[in-house]
Amino acid sequence: MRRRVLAVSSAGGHWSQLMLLREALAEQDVTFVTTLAGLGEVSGVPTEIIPDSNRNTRSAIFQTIAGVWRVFRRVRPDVVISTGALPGLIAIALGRLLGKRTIWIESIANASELSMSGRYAARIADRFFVQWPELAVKVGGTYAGAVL
Amino acid sequence: MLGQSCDGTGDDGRNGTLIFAIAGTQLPFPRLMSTLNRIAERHGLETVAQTAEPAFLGTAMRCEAWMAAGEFERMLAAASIIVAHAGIGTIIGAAQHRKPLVLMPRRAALHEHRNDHQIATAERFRHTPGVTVVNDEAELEAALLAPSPEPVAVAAGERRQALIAAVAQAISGR
Repeated sequence: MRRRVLAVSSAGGHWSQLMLLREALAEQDVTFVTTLAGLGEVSGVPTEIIPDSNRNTRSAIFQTIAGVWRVFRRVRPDVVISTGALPGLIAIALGRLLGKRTIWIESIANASELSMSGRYAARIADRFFVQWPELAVKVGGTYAGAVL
Repeated sequence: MLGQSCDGTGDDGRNGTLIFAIAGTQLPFPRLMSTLNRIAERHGLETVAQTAEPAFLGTAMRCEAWMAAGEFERMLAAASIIVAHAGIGTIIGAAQHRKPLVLMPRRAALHEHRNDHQIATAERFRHTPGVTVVNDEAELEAALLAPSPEPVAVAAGERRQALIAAVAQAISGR
């Protein structure tokens, strides 16, 4: 059964990792979301663009939330998946609020401790993956492999 | 989307070498960029730098604060060697384009990032073929003048296939 999946990741390494996991979404109805125009074209996937923000850009966070909400309303996903960072967490939080299945994959950059977004996502996502076995031992979550 | 260009272009490349330097999308990295600029000037190395810092003037490099995604990919493809902050995107990019990679990790103590995870990343990938980790000007210079650097080669993708399978199952609710 094809599910509507919203796959949200910040531009840069988070997006690169999502692209390396694309096969996992091959049988689904997926809409990709990122924070930099043109990334979708480079990878050949249709992509929505939302404003970026991080913990240091308080006012921009509201624009990100509005952007995520806008995409949610159009796509009406069953599943929300993210490799980070804050824009992805916002999508996960909104997905949880709406009773959707949520999946977080912590960046492979974090081998010994979770990112701040990851710490919040760990508490709210249905499935939480880390990419280093020692990190799963330390903070919980599932180690099931890594993009590199 | 082109950032502000700075003065100066690289001289004719030494042996046709083209260096592509990457600060990433989020934060400038003046320590890397000014160090690289001095080295490029000293040796006439053709260098293009994505700096995340519109005000940075690299006299011996062609600088852009941010690049459009397509242009960034073209630079990865055109580069002989990539010099970058220790971000995962740069490691993946160098691996996909099969380029040698020199990493300079950001340090929290120098306010270059919020924490020291780049130092940990550099340490984890230090022994990956094609990756050289540098922390100062002397090390960066040595890495750039080294003959025939090998491209980044990441091990076979069993770990990736396993994670893909697990994520696919999670989506299906299994």
